[in-house]
Amino acid sequence: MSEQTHTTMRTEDGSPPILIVEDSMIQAELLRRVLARGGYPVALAKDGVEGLAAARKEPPSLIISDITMPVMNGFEMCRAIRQDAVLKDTPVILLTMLSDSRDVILGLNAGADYYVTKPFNEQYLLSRIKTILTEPPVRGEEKVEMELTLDEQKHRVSVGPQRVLNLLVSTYENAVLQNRELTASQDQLKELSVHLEEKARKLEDANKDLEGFAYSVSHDLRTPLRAIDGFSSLVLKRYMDKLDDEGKRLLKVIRDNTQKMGQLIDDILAFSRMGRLGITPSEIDMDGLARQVFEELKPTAAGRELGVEIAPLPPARGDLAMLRQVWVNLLANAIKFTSHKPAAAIQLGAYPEGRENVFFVKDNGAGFDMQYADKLFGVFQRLHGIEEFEGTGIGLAIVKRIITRHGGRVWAEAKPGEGAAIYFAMPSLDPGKKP
Amino acid sequence: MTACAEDVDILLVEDNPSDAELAMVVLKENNLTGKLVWVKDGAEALEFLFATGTYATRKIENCPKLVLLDLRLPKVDGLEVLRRVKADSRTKRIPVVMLTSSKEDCDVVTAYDLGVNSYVCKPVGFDEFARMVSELGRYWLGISRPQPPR
Repeated sequence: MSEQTHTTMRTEDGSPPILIVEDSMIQAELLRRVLARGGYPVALAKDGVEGLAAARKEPPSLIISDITMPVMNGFEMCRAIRQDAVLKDTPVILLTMLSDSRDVILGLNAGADYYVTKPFNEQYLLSRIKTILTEPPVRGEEKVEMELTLDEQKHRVSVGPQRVLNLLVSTYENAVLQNRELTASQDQLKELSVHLEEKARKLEDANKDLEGFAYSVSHDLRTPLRAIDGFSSLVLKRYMDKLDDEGKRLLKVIRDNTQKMGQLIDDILAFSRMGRLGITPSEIDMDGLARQVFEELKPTAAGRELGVEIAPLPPARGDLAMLRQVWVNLLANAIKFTSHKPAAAIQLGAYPEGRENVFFVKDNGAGFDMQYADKLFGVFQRLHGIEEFEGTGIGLAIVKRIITRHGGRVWAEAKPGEGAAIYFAMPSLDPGKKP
Repeated sequence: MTACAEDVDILLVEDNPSDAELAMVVLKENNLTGKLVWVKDGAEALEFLFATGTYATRKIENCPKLVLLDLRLPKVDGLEVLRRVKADSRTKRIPVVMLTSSKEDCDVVTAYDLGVNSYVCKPVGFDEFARMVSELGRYWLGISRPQPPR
């Protein structure tokens, strides 16, 4: 260990430095800055051995030392200072976390003068240093032998009464200071939690507003739509003989679009409902549910060649109505996107992965380009032309919302023209048991 | 189109004139509007049903055979009208069909708890709307047996 490793920053008047002995560079730098702000010259050392060497080379006005350090700890260095003919009267401040009360006894026996707690309070530390430098601790007082019991252990202390007093008072001061800071941060926390509660209440209000909004949307937007469709229909009926084919076609376009807008409103509402409604969880027989949903949807593919393979599916925990909706949307999609294929092949399956079960629906339908995969689960995102396949593009957004609310994930794999596979992972019923 | 206040088959409570007109067009096509009264808010509906205010000269015993009651109405809302009709022994037997534009089902349970006879959602498409209104009219005025006159 070189004697040159420590650094000293002198003031112009050449007064002796305060020696900081600290193995943590960050702590040392923090301390150095505080002292520099107080106008003190500073010397740094990174352990007890280095600190002792630095002090011998250039006796400091005061030593501030960490306790836990490699090579030589704070207590050992302090003891060595007290036994050094030149340095023995140097005041020593030990930095403590105030986590072990035995530190007080060890510090007393080592001959430390004061304790300062980490993290230190800048103002307190500077005022303490000023006092020490103007009124150095009393030296050469008669030592008193004392016995002290701490943590059911007897400790012998041999030290002068003034030093005991100094050390204990400084420790107490620090404790009071910390307590004050703790109380302050407790108050801050209280304030913060009040603030948070207020925020939560506001959020709740905003949610209620949104619910009311969804309700109004469904009511207020439908009424004018019904009027548009209704009166277009009346014109078609009553002025049949006055309208030419183009006139009739135009009115029909209006009517078709009111239907589409009605569907969009229903879909927005369904999507918002899936976010608002509470989940009533129970163990769901996914196998039975998927098969049942498929049977219900089958008539929509009447007259088509529909090959379906359903592998046994494991149960899941969740809301029955919502998980039914997941199967409805996924199977309806599979049936829809295979409608241009001469022979549709739809495959349902599941496999365990970690603490989850991954369910999937694969089809040999239109598929899509994977570069748009991130759009697939967005609201009103459609990857096919409306002429090609009908729909508003809400189905997978609803699937994602439901699965996410059940603590699961969704993703997709596809190739244009070759088919798509939609996957969703849900927590296994018994996550402790390895499959 | 509006019947004399004494002898009424249908009381249509609807604030939206377009909806009211469409409903009346359908009912007329089905020959069901002969004795129809249209009121535009809940307060007027109550005055009619309880023979007060504008309708003070009416006899309360001359109950309509059917009330088509919109859920959301100015002044007094549909559920409140329903509550008062079903809470009064003089009016509680009048069949009330609640019509709503909303598919949000938060009011269905309340309406049934209050004793509504039927609760239907008005579809956006006119064809379905027409089918629904004519079926309602045919059922309540033709198939269902009304309370005996007092």
